[in-house]
Amino acid sequence: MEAAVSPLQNRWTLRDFITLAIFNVVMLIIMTICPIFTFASYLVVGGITALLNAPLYVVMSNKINKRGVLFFTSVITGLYFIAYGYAYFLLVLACMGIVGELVLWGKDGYKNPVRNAIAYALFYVGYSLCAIVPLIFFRDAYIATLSKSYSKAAMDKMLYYYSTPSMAITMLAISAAGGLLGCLIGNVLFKKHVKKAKLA
Amino acid sequence: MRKPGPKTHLLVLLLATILTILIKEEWQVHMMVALSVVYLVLNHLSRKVMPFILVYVMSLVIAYIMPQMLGTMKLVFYSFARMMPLVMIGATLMYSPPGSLMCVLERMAVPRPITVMICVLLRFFPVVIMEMQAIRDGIRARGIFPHWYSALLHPAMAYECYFMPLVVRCLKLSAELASSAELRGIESKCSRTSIYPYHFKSVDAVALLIYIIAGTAIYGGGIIR
Repeated sequence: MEAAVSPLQNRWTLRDFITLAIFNVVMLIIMTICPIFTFASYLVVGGITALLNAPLYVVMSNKINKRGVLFFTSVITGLYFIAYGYAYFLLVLACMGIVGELVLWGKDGYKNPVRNAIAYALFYVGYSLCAIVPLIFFRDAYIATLSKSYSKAAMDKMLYYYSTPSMAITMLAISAAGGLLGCLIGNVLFKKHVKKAKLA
Repeated sequence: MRKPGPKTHLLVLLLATILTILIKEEWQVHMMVALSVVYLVLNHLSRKVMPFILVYVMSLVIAYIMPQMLGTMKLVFYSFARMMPLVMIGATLMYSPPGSLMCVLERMAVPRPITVMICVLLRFFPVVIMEMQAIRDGIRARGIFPHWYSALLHPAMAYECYFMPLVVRCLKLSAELASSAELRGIESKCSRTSIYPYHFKSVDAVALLIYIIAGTAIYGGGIIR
């Protein structure tokens, strides 16, 4: 059985909050740029975003190493997308953040590369789910919003990817794979550069 | 004339966020941008207005002319244009002195860690973008990727060359910022004071009232149409 984490060890300091905020700024910028990869396919956007953000997440989580890193990251990402007018992002991402925290529950969850990678992959599964959830719960209103910036053909193509179960599952699987692979690369880079330089 | 304070900016930002979620028509977004221009001028930020309008128009034009194959990127530009009123109101917070913003948030009983995080998130977007550009320039200056397609030929190397300096820079920035904040007494238990005026005065009430009336008119106009 794993030992419980002492409250003192798990207490966040202002230094931790500042680290979290700075790393999240970079991750949000990358998240904003990544939809350009839809020129390849709608299916890969979540996976590529997860792959690119993973080294930042691995370093941030290992540096802070306190319960709540993933949850706070999810909430900040959700709040950022509220500014774009997508309020449901916060709900979906916060739920996935809680699930991720449950995966990381216990002593040094963030230092464990496997559990950390699984939790991170789950977060990106949630990120990809954000495109699917509104089509399940408020399809008509969502389509009405999208129709302002899409032609009929492009809309049909997008709906094909987001509302066909096999495509949606493939997209979620690619996001999870991107997250896992990204964490694997992130851990290699973390050991090769950051740990060696004693920066975290 | 005294400018509205950070408390008003926060309330207006909250109202603008709710309005952005509620409005559906394109003309309503144009009207919200116009309203934000008025708010920026009220805050003596007239010089910042033109770049925002240019970015707004360009985002709309790009979203309009962009080929459909770019899919969600088109949506990103469209959403970015929709987000412009919030960015403009957010700019008033970005150009407010951090001390006054922290003082106001503390008096609104916002926990100090959240206050610090809000300030960092608001002020570090331009800094991080500058850092990213500096890394790109450094790579070019060293001739690591001499041609525009060189990074595409060696994606793994490009990934490492770009992301590791970025990660290290973020670690350095966070350490420096945290040390600086600690040195300035951020963890002090005393109540924070500010040399900048932050109390809610008549000018704040007028600015807020104008925004509420205009915002209600924009939202109501959408329902009537």
